Amino acid sequence: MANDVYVPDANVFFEYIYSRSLQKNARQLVEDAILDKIQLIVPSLLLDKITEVLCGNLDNLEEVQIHIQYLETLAAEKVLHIVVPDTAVRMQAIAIARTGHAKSGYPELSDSLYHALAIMHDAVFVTNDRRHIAKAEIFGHIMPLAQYGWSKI
Amino acid sequence: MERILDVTSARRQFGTLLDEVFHKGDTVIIARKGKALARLVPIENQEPQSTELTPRQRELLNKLHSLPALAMEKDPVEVLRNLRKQKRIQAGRKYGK
Repeated sequence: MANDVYVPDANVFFEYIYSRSLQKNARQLVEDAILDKIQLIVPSLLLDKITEVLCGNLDNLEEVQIHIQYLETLAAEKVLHIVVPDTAVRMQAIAIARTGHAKSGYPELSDSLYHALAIMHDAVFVTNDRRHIAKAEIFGHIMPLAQYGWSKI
Repeated sequence: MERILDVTSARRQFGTLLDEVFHKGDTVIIARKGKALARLVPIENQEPQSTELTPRQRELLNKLHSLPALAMEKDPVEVLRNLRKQKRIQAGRKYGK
């Protein structure tokens, strides 16, 4: 069993779904999990978040379905461990979401749930959301997706 | 060639062992109190080989690399942020804030 545990943000999956600039890093993360080099844990809201954004692609519903089915397969094959956040994770998320300033803004609660899950599992939250990183990096257990891959060399 | 060495001997001749492993392609198993704990192998042997993949892993990797790419001009991070913002505005209106 792999020791390195990561909590990928929904935007990690969007990188390869939408062929964006960090798709290679995102695919690498999923590949490493398939090869049992790392473990992936995600909160149960991940699939809803992804479906919400995919909902915008009304012209390609078949392709949207393929992506959702693939994520379900990853979960069924235990590549993606879906966790319902417990009270400890939710309270940690609230603590993260309450940091910040009225002017510069506060971390989003849903992003904080991913981050809290990483903290409580001694894992690393991988995200492409620079704003969340800037606001919540004091809590540690966080890494930009752009660093995934070369950080392990 | 593969041989077993106890941890004390391995520590004493670690540099020599590295040369043997790298240049000759030998493998050294390091043991403590008779129990094998680690294997020193040439670095190229560490690369994952396709033959080592299980059928399940191969299938998942093939699927990953054949997934269709969807089109979206906007940054998905921004799209998610806007969706949340809209919900907050709607909730604010609903509860009169």
